[in-house]
Amino acid sequence: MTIRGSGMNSFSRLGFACALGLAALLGEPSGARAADPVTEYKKAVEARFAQWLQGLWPEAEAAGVSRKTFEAQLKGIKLDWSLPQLVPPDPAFPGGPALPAAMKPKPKPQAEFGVPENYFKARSLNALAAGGRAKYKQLAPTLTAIQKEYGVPASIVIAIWGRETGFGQATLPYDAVTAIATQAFMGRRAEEFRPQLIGALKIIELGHSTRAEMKSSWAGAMGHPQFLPGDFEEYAVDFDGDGDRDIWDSVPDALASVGNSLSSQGWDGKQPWAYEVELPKNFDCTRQGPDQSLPIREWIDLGVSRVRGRPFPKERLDDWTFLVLPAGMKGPAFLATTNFSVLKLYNNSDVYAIFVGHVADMVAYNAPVDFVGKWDPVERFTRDRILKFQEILVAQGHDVGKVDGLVGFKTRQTIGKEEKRLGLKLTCYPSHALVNRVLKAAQN
Amino acid sequence: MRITIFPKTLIFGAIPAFLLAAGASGPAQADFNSCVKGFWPAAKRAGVSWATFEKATAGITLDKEVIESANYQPEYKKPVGEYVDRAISPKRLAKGKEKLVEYGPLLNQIEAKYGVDKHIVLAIWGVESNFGDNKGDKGVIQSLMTLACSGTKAKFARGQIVSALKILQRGDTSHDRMNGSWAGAMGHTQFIPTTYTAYAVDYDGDGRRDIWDTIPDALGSTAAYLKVSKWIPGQTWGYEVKLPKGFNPKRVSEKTYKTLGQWQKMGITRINGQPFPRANDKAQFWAPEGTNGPAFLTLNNFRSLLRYNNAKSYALAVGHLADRLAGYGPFVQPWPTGERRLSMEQRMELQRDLIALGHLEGEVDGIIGSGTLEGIRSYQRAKGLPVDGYPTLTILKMVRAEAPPPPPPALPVQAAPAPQVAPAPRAVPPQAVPQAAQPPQSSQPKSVAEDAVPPAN
Repeated sequence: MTIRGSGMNSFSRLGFACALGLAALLGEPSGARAADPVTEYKKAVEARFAQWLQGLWPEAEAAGVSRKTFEAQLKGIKLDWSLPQLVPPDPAFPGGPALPAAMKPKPKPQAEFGVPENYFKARSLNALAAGGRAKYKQLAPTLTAIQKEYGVPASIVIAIWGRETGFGQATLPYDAVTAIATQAFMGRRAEEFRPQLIGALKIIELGHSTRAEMKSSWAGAMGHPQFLPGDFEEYAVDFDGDGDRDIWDSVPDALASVGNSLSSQGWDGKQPWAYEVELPKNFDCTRQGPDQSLPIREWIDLGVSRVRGRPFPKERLDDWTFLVLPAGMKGPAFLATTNFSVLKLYNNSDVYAIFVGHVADMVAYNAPVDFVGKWDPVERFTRDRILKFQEILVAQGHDVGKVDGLVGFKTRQTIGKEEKRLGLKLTCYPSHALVNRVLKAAQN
Repeated sequence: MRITIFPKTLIFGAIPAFLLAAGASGPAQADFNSCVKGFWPAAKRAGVSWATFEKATAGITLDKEVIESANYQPEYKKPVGEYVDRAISPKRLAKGKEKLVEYGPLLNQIEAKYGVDKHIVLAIWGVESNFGDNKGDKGVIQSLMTLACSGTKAKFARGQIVSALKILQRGDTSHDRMNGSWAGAMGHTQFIPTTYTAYAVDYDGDGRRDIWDTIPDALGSTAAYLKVSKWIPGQTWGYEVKLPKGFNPKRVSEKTYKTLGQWQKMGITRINGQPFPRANDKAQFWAPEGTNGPAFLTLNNFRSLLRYNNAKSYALAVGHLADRLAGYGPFVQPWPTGERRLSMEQRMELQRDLIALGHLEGEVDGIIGSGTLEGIRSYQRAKGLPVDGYPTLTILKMVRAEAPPPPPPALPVQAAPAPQVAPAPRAVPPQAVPQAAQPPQSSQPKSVAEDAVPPAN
């Protein structure tokens, strides 16, 4: 589930995405005339799109989609130009009309990359935990059965449900086939969406769902658990016993499907999702990240301890865990288990996994927001600036993971290394002092 | 590029209890399976499909031989001379010369393309896998999973697994062909998966980087890796040198760099007394066995070999084998024998005597393996000596005095089989950055009480 768009207010990506979508909308003039370059361009791209759709037939056929379904579902569908994360072709096709200036993406100097502090606002954690506790009571028998069957705590399943669709409350405004087809044709991650489009046709072919029911987020994520078609195929289960795997209208099916997806991807029922920890003074924060996993006992040897003086469970000391510092030294620290990695398969973001894990704990233990470490205010950056910073680091031979304007663990590791080299205070989080210095040095 | 077993730097984690359980079934296998499954998230993120992951991990079990190999600590550190001698046995030299003819055109092309001396490429092939005879026949995924899930060299293995799975995902080789040593060193030139991922090349242009079954790809990859390791075309790895009278090697740090000219001013010359070409090249001094054996000045290309495999004895063996294959003679200064090193004849005599005295069983082959060492220890125990298993001249003299006289000299002592070369030492090069590795898991319980799991806080 690496390309899901959350129905809930998703951290940074959605905000960014909305800005894009809005820009596209505003770029469209109202009274379009025949000679209008925007209309002309779009017409050319649509023609190309129709052609491209026909080219999918061999793939669809190989996947078991009938010609009838293929024609019925794809005939006449139009690109949804309002979706975020599109990269319209320029020109429309070789020798065709160029992308009109009015449609070119506007520079977005205000697009900020997410600040962990904002992501973990007590208000949103509390709201979700409260909703979760209510559902927990209301659905207790179902949840117990799911927990028994899949070995995934009910609280985790609930937290994901809440995070993804507000317990099924979020409106999913898009037609999944159109959204996925548009993304597969001219989305920023087109390659990833192509097999999903075939998957969507298969769902219809096999009668698991109907086109009308298949509403989705802008990124094609469907139903209560926000599954892409591929997730549906691999992980959806029929839990209410009616013969259908219905993630759209059956809450038991939807929640069991979440449990099944986590369990199939390696959830270990004996481990928590993470342990919040305290680091010794002057700890080297570049030791974070899954590529530097250690057994818990070795972290203890390095002076890492659980918060509130609790001991680690004795029987878990050989578990391999890795250090997660979402805000560098400016926020809580976690030793993440294999389950943390499984959560990240649901949505590839450290803060997502921590958010879901923490809400689950709040539900399970009826506890308030409970981070011991403080999410300190951090300096703000535009995503573009972080992007530029990353590009320079890469040019200097550093590994920053994806160059995407987001601050993942590899970027944080590299920042730590640079801080050490330049003799700055070790934080493993971007600061203007460091970013300016690196950008400036690169100019000379 | 390989993994050197430096006994003193190996850290042995406690072996989890489940490994001690007999057989590959029951709870031990369940724990292993769940540990294996723990690598799925990282594999998936790296683009490995479930189909590939499932096929790669289907039916694998904890491999006890792998654990034994990983836990094996040589009782004594082999002197450099002994290592080099073994790596350049007459048999290997002869085989190398055959290969030089057989693969001459290919080696010439590779040398032209990458600028790496063909004899060096050939020598690496010889030292790594005895020219493909000893590529290792263990399934790489099973070996790495065993290491990753058993606490022995787990950190190393965890860094290799995702790279290994990516090889299968790309289809560079097939599941049943991806074999290697117990430590996951693969194919003709024994690349570990991360090195493979970074440096292997598709030399024959068939779309696959096949170092297992395609010799051009294997040798091309070796040359490509050495090129990246800053091999300078047309230069040698170093020189055997003659020391001036009274020169004390111990007073020179092996880390010191001086130009060949500066060394020459200190009275050091090439062994044949000739001056060094390119007097400005930076060189380091190395006398592995002090004044008792050959001494060397090593150059840039020696450091490239070290980047390939971070063990000086390895680099020397490769460099010298290359020289021998190119037609140069053996080292002028012989390696020392004596208290710290028995000659082949002496080693065979020691074995014969130990057998005669009932401390050893097996064949007399002159190779001091674990059996012989145990035999020496047995003898030492019987005599109330310190039990270190070290094959010294003192021990030889003692057993010789006790044992019955040697059999009549009709036995072809001189024609003893050339020692099989032990697997080359392996080093994880510093530049190999391990891929994300996921922690192991224990078995998935069928039912879970929430309270069984501690909260994060």
